[in-house]
Amino acid sequence: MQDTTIKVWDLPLRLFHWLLVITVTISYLSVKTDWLDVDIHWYAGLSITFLVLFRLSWGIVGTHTARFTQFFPTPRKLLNYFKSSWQGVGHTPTGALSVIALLLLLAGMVATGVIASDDITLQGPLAKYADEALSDQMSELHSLLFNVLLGLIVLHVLAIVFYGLFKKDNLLKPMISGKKSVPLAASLTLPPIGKRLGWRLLFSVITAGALTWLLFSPQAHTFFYQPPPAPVVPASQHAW
Amino acid sequence: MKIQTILCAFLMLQGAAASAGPIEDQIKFRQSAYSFIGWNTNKIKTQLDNPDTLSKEEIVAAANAIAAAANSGLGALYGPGTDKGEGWKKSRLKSEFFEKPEEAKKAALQFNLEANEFAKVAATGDVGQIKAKFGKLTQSCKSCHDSFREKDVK
Repeated sequence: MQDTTIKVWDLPLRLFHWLLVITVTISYLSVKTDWLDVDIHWYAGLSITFLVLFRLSWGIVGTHTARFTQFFPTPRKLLNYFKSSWQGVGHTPTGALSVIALLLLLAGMVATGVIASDDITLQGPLAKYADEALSDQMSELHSLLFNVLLGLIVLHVLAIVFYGLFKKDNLLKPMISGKKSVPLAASLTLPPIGKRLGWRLLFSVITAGALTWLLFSPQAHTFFYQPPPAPVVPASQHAW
Repeated sequence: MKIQTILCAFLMLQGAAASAGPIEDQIKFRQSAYSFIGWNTNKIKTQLDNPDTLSKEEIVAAANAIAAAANSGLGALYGPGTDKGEGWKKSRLKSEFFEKPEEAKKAALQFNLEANEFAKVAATGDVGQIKAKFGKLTQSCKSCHDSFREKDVK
């Protein structure tokens, strides 16, 4: 069988992947250890929100292997994969299941995290608009979901080791260089990358950036919510 | 006979009220104390987050209030059975607090230490030091919360 080297992961996708690794690690260290300040968790959460939103957008307008429609694991694809008759490039059907699960979990972490609070100094950007009971539930769910996420990350890494050792398929290198040697026939199943890639990238970055801003910026919130003026006595007026 | 029964029932009710009281009170005082500490913690955070309008006096006042609360002997409010009761609202205290008394004591003493250290540093007015020590103080809150405080009570 003839092999050919193709660009399997585009640069935005690889950047997304490794930035996500870094930000999730920082996010974890900031709340679970003393090494990093708790305040950093807020910015890590903001960065992860941007990255996840970017990936969702890139999954619609990105290049071939990045698109959800391209790799969505239909039952037929999964069946073919287990019968070893699946032929394709990019996410394998089981890999696609893992990708979708990871993205959904991260989205869940974002959705719960923005409303959560540690009742000390760390507050999700929307926590102040939620009542206490809801914020408490979200905080609890945020840490529960994290344990599931951690399990999936372990599974993800183990799968890569398994493919490397037993299937002689190095999955790590293509995620760094973007290039992979694949059977010629399989490479032909890919749709074209498409035109105006720069504009599509810009669209994704702006969409993700704007949505992140709406979620995290108190200034953005004033468009939707005008808090009643708090009857705070200025410091100069309370003498005791 | 009848009077004796009524009297007996009355005394039993009194007894029940007396034994429910302290637990409820302990939890109430506890919740009030930590709300007060939380209010002062937020005041400090607001000051540190807004360097342009930072008031060192406000930080000192809040730091002294936290230290005073920490030094007031909060341990007296953690009597046996106070993980189950209800004060102003249901207590979030985990029963692990009573199962691991050594660890609980360590967490409590750490908070006391950091609260007093912070009050000292606040008095010096060195903002860099204040920020660093404030991080230590809130970390001591967090480590106790992580071990002994329920995130969500049903």
